[in-house]
Amino acid sequence: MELIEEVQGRVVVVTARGRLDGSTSQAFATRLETLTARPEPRLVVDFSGIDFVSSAGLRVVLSVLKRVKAAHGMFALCAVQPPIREVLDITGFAGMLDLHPGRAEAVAALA
Amino acid sequence: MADFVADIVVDLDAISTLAEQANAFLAQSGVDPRAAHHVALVIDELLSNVASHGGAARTPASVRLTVWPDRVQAQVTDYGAKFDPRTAPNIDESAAVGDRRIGGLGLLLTHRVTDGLDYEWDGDRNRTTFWIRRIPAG
Repeated sequence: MELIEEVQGRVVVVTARGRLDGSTSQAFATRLETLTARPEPRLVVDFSGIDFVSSAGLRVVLSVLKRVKAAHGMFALCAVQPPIREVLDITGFAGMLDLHPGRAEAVAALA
Repeated sequence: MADFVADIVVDLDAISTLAEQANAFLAQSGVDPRAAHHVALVIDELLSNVASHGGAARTPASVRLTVWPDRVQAQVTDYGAKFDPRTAPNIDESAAVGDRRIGGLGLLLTHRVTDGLDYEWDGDRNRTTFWIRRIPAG
């Protein structure tokens, strides 16, 4: 998995590419924990390049979400591909997460 | 009808590679992205369960895919602990963030994305068969 960070005002945008599964989820978790280890973090993860998410990946997303909420921050995903969006819907994650169709909308919502 | 057959030794990296190869095979066979993703997802979930709960990490497993005009059928055979994936998932997907339990997601996904799920214990191995409908091209 490839992760590229970019700061847009108060928002950190992470562009993720590859697969989010049992093999990659720990590296993803470690990187995002570092980015959210501050008061009131504002984090957008661009999922346009994520083509596979398993339950191991979902567990990491849930962990990041809990961490951000505990720090009174904001966390959003954008550009989620349709099969992965269905996975989020099935598991109830779509109702817990702040989802946006594109990066600009997500950054604007968190700015 | 096209077939994909693969044998692996169960660990997380091998599962990831296998699921990616399965997805690529299905895409090359003209299977729609939804079915291709979900077939790879269920394979990943079944084998990850063996790796983490089946008491048989680093044991052999095999996967066979058959692409039919209307569906993809998959058979996953593993030598982990006896486990019937038709067991009902124990999870509340409507729970709030703070109340969400971390387990049970894989089984929930397996139940929800498959259109058929069958299982048998064959002496010393689990044999799970599932199928997922294809979205017709065009």
